[in-house]
Amino acid sequence: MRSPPRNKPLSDDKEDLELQALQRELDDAFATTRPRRAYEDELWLRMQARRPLWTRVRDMFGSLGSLFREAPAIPLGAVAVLLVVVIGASVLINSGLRLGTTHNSYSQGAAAPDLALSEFGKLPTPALHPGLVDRAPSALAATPEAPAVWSGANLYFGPANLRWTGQLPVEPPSQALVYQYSEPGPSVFDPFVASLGATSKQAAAQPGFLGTYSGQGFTVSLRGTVPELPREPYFVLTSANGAGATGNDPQTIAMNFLSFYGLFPNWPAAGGGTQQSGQQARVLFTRSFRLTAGQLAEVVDWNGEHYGIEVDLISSQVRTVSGPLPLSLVSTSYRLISNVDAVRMALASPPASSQAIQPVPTVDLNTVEEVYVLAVAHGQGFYEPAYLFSGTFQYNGQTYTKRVLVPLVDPSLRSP
Amino acid sequence: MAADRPLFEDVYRDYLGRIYAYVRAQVGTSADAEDITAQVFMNAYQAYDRFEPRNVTPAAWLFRIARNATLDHFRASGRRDRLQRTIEHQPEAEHDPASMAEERIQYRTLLIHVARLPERQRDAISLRHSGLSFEEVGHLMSCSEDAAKMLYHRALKALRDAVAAQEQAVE
Repeated sequence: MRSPPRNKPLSDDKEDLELQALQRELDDAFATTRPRRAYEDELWLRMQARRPLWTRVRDMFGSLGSLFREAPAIPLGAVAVLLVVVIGASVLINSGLRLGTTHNSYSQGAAAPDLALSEFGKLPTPALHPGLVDRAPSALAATPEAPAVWSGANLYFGPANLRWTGQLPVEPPSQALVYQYSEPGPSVFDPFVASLGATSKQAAAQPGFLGTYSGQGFTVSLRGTVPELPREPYFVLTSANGAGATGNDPQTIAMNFLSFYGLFPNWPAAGGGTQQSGQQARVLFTRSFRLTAGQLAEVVDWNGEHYGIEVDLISSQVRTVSGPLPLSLVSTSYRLISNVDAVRMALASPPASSQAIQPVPTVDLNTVEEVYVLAVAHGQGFYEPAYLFSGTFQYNGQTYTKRVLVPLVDPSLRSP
Repeated sequence: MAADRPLFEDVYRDYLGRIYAYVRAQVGTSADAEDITAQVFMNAYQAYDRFEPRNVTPAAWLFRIARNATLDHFRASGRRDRLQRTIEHQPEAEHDPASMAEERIQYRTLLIHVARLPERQRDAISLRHSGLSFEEVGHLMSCSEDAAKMLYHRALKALRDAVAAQEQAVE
């Protein structure tokens, strides 16, 4: 470091030191700010998918050209056979078809960067499971005065005569990302509870939970995947004093509480919707995934309900927070079906529940939403893109809503 | 392809993080930063055949695209209002453990202060600490190297004052 001039005032030296410290901090800030880990792969895949066919063919012939230069003695017949094989493989790879253990869509051979794409193989097929109840203690169960139904009233999943009368949405992309997690263990739980400030593990965890930990003024319980719903690993934090929860409205209080514990979701566009009933309020920060570069799709549960991090308040004091456990996700692209196929599958899909209204109602499905939905297999969870069709009908003077979930991943890439 | 032009894959791998950090320092959310970064590399990929490394470094070329994409974003979204809303509603301690799987960012508060600087000051700080020389910063900002240095130092002092003011408010 340079020496300050002798006639320089001390205050100038102090300012220099402050600015130098700030510069170092800025260097660190810019050097350590990086996108989430899966982003590099996702973006590369999107760029590859947009390459025009002629550039892929050009690259392919470029590779062959170097082959000719390096091995001029190769018989022409062998070259012709190789040419046919390479063209066929290139077309298949770039069309999104999966060839055995192909790991990505690079066609330039050695030029491909080390992006370590994941290969999930055949995916489990997501489905709605109406009527199943999550028995584990939840935020609502902890508040006996909570109303019986917060949402999802008059949902009908039984047999119906279905018609599509809505407007087809914009055609889905030819490929979209599927996100995967592996069942977490202590290497995930321990840092998570430590980040909350929990210090001790209680001896007896609640039924269905992996552990309950306590910190100053709160307890937090962790649970693994519930495959039959399915539901991903999640946490329930119960606060004794609502620490960190100040604000003039439920949403502000909820945001401040989550920030206090470092739980504020970093999902894309996590909106906070509020439901209020008397002294009780629930703020829901819905979870979403990126379907394409500019398109988000929210996650729905086994009833087709949006979910995410829920904050329950009574008399402006946070009582419980529950939500998916933060997990490392990896992603890869899968080929999707077209709109026409999706509508056809919606109309032909078997009912999610056998409980029927008589006579069997006729339902006009007239809305459709792009969503992500969880499917679980072999200790791994997969968030997969789907269409959630819905329509309403009248029965005994009440309005019912019929929902139909259609997975968008090509059926040949899913297990039945 | 020009003989001295690096493979685009190498440019992508080398600069993705730096471009993202530059954009992230300008905008309020990781979602916006991802969108803009994607646009930058999509544009760069399409234009790579026209990139002439004898005239400009890959860094300067990419940061020009990134700067234009960021300015377009602000123009499209009404930057001032949007940024103000973002700052007001985004808790500064946005340390979600989910960021282990999502964005990787430290010094969040400092970057929020950078984002609050006037546009040219913010740009000078962001470009300089993304690794560009003052000559390159001046070239991108259409001013001389000396002007870029002066702008940068004014921005640095403004940033220091903003950080100090917030620390005093907390105390």
